[in-house]
Amino acid sequence: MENSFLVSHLVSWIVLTPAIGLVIVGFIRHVETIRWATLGITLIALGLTLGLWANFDNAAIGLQMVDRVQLPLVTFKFAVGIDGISLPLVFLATSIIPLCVLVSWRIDNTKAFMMLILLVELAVTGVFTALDAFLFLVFWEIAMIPMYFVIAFWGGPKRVHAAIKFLLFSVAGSLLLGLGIEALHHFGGTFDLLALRQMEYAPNVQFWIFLALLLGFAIKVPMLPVHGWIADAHGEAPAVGHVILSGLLLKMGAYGLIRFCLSIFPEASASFAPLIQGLSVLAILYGGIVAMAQSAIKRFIAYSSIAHMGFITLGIFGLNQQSIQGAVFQMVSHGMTLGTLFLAAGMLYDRTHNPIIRAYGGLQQVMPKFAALLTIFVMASIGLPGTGSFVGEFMILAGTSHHSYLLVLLALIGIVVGAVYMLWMFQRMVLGPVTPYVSTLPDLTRREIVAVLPMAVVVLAIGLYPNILLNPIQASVSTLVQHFAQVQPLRILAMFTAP
Amino acid sequence: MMMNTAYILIPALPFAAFLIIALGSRWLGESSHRLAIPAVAASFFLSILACVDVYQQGARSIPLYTLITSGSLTVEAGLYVDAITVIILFLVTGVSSLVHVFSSRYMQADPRYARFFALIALFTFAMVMLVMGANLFMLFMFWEIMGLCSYLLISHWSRRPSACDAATKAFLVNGVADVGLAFGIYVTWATFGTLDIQAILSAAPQYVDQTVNLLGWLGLEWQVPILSVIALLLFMGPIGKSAQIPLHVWLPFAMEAPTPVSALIHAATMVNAGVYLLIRMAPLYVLAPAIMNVVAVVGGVTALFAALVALTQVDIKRILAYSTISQLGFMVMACGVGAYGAAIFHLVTHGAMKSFLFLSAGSALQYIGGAHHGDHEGDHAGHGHSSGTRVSRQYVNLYVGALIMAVIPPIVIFWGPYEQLWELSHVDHARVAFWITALGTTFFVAFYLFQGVMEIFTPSGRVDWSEGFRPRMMRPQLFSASLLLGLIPITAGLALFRLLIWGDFLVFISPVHPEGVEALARISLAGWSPVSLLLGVGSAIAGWATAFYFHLHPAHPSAWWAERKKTLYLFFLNQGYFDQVYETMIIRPYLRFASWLWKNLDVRLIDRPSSGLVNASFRMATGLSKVVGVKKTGEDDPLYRQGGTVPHHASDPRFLRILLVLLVGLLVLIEGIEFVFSLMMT
Repeated sequence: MENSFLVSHLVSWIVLTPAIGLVIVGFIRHVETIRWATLGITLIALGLTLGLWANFDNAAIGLQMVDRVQLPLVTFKFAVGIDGISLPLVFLATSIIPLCVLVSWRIDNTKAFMMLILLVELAVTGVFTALDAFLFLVFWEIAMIPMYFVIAFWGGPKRVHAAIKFLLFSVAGSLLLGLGIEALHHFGGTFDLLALRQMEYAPNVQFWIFLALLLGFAIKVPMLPVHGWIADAHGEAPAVGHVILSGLLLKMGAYGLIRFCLSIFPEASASFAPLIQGLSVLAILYGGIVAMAQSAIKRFIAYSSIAHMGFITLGIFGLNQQSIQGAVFQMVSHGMTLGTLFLAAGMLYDRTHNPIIRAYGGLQQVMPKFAALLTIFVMASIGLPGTGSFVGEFMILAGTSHHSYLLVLLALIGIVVGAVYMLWMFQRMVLGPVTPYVSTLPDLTRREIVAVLPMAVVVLAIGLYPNILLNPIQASVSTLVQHFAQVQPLRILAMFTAP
Repeated sequence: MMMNTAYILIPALPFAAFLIIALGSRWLGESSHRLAIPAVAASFFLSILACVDVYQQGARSIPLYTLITSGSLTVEAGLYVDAITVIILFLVTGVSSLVHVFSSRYMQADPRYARFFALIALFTFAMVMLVMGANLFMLFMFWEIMGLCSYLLISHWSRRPSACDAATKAFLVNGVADVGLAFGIYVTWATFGTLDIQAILSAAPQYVDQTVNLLGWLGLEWQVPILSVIALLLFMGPIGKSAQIPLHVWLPFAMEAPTPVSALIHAATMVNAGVYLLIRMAPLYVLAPAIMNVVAVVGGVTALFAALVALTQVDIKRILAYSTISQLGFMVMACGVGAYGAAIFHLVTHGAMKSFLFLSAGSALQYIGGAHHGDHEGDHAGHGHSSGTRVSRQYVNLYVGALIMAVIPPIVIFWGPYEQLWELSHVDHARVAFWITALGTTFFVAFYLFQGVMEIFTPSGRVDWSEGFRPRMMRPQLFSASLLLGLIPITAGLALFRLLIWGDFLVFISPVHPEGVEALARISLAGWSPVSLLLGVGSAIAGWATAFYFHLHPAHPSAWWAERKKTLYLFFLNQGYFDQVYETMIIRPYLRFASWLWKNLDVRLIDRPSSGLVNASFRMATGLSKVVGVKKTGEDDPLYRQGGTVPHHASDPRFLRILLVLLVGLLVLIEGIEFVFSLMMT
């Protein structure tokens, strides 16, 4: 009996596991126990997610394993469930969090840190599974808080500046998001995402709500003109901060774009698509070129992250099967790849406390294991075939080639620009003669290898057998794109000129 | 079923070797070759079986598993094997086995011995999969993986900055070319709705009349046949991989790699991929005659240019690199004029010859060449080349080797061009130009090859052998062995070629050839054309004679040339100034543009306003902390001066606490407003 109870409420359990863990860890005093307890809790969440995947019906249309509980006192429900778009992201979240725990094993102030990590897991799994717009917003806000503390307390020398910048941008974004969701509630009469999808909205309403939501999500992604916070946040965050940021928080924005903008407002999405696709391609090129001008490793990877997220938004607003499926695929792949790449940079930084690329050299001879892993992840972030990024980019561009060859060409040029800066960094740091500065660095410890190796395996596995991840996504995306087959784009200009 | 397994084993064995060595490098170490050599040799053996099988049974396709399903996009991982596949498989696995054997001596005492073997096994696997792949997705996939292998292998001696530069250069130049290839693949998919090569080739004739408007995004009209667009874009790939002008610049630098890697790149794997693509997509290319001309012109110009450059160089590595470029140009030109049979033939013979040149003769030359500047890793104590007795023991082998060097290349290499010239006479467009290019290249190739051979017997010090090769590993037995092994691919390749390719290839091309069966009949019936054979061999003999003349004559041909045509000589001596132009026109402006963009757009336009906000919030917080009564950390708080740069002492816990209270308050405020709003709504 208990087993079936567990299975039928699996999604709720995944969200609640970190919450329960938070309470448990809160009562433990012994540091070593805290570490193992946190690791255990996050591994339980991962195990539950794998169970979820095993019980997931690839062919089913719509949401599965839905739980709805009316909360006391408030108007919204605790409603969670998954479909093919959220399942890969839940998997991404629950598989990245144990890695964060492992990597920050010896961090100062362990208890606070572990609790924050569990809070992140709670918030992110909540965001990816919430079926109630207000619940989504609550989890969205919760996700911001631990990130602020992680940067402000465990960050680099300019941490307070970076943390506050992060917070200001995030608050601005969630303000817009909050307004948008309230307006949705006003016009739709409910917070239920499934019900909101069925409603008809007047063009004017669509336009403004869409714009508010888009901006709210765009800041998180970040899309091109509103990316101001990311370089500082990445530049100052500790190793784990990067992983949480690039692996999870950025994906929340992209997920929100699909879940809200695309699902609820297909007409507005279709009319905004050319603009956003153009911005995305600009982001790919811009991120790549500006990365070349950076001298610090972390800022460098931050700009490359902008370029990669450009691919994801390009795919989302391709509005067809291949590109959206590719975008979801790429979210997982990018989370794993860039997350681990940042982690590697963080491991190096933790050893030397020197952010400047030029100080390094010849790491291949000093830290061969590190160099081998870095090779895999640098190549994965370039989008080399055999890694997940290649498949994601391939599908996104295959989808984009339906409506614009020019965008495909520019994005391809963006890939080469990306290869230029990645190889430039790689050559400077890993190849060449050993600089005296790095000659005594220790290679990866066993714990670090245990943390990173599974990521490498996943990145290669989804690159060589992409269907393992594409099959669950397939059905949900095809129901989503059915909207767009007969959608008439809004006539935005007419809205403003008409009396 | 059995046969399918055998086919799958051809790539699977090198891949397994790669995996085991890569994962177990710590335990395998110096004995990695014991795993790699049998694996590759077995797949060579299986390739021979495959040749026989394809000869008897014809082409076959072997589906493996589904890579991608997404709406109308389906990509299967599958193998397709026909006559072209097996002939190149034979070359690749054969040469690769030789290289593996050779490397086990050559790389001795290398600190990263296992890594080296893992990578050359992967390199072999990638090339094998590239020729066996059934669709463009797989072709591109292994095309890129080969790029990765070349990157990692060229930078094998990573302590030398020049090797690292060469590796990065190879990867990026190929990356530029691959933009075109990848774009071509997307256009192909959007046009044909499939990526399966055989399906595309058989559907191609239906798309002859379809056009695409290239200037549609500008609102203009320029209709171009879609097949021409696809053919041109796909050709970008071979321009990079097969080192054609203007993207040939990576190959001379790639000689920084250890010699076995150079042998692999030049003879078996990397550069052949481009020519393979042209041959594989031939039925599509013959439907785009304009692009065929482009291919032919690029190939012809490359062949002639590289031959002239090779003539002026004194560094043996450069000479070898440019001779490869020149020969590749020949193959590409052959594809451009429709002489696909000649192209594939030349591919095989050139591959066999070059590997032989690199592996046996190249190392032996060192005994005569004299001084070796040992800037490689490892010790050079007890080398044979300084000891007279050991040199004399090498003589017998050397004479044999040198004779073969002198005789075989002209016969083997010029048999290819001769076939090509013979076919050229059937091509109508620009016949004269191609004739001249072909004959000129033949002449110059004969010239510098013969010059090099004679340099071995009576070294005049004009050619610099010093940096080319590492001397110590070439034991007499091994030398003889490699000599024998070197002969096998040549003879076997020739025999197989006659048996397999000639008839089958024409059959393969004929259904989609514009002139169809007629052309096939004409080509196979035309037989032997004395004029072109005489011209081809004649220009080769003229080349030998000129080389001989200059050898007797005290003047070096370069010096002779330098006196008369100084500008032209300098142009070719500096390899056409390609590197300098790229450096000043592209690389430096790009770097400057990158830092300009960052400083002006990102920092000034985007970052400054948001940083201003952050500073304002700081000021608010410090103002408030005064009111609440928290002590300030000091009058000269750098917070104000450095625009938000917070030094360590400014992160005073009390200061932070106030800041936090403020921010949490702000959050609560926002959430509260939202919450009240939501309650009011219901």
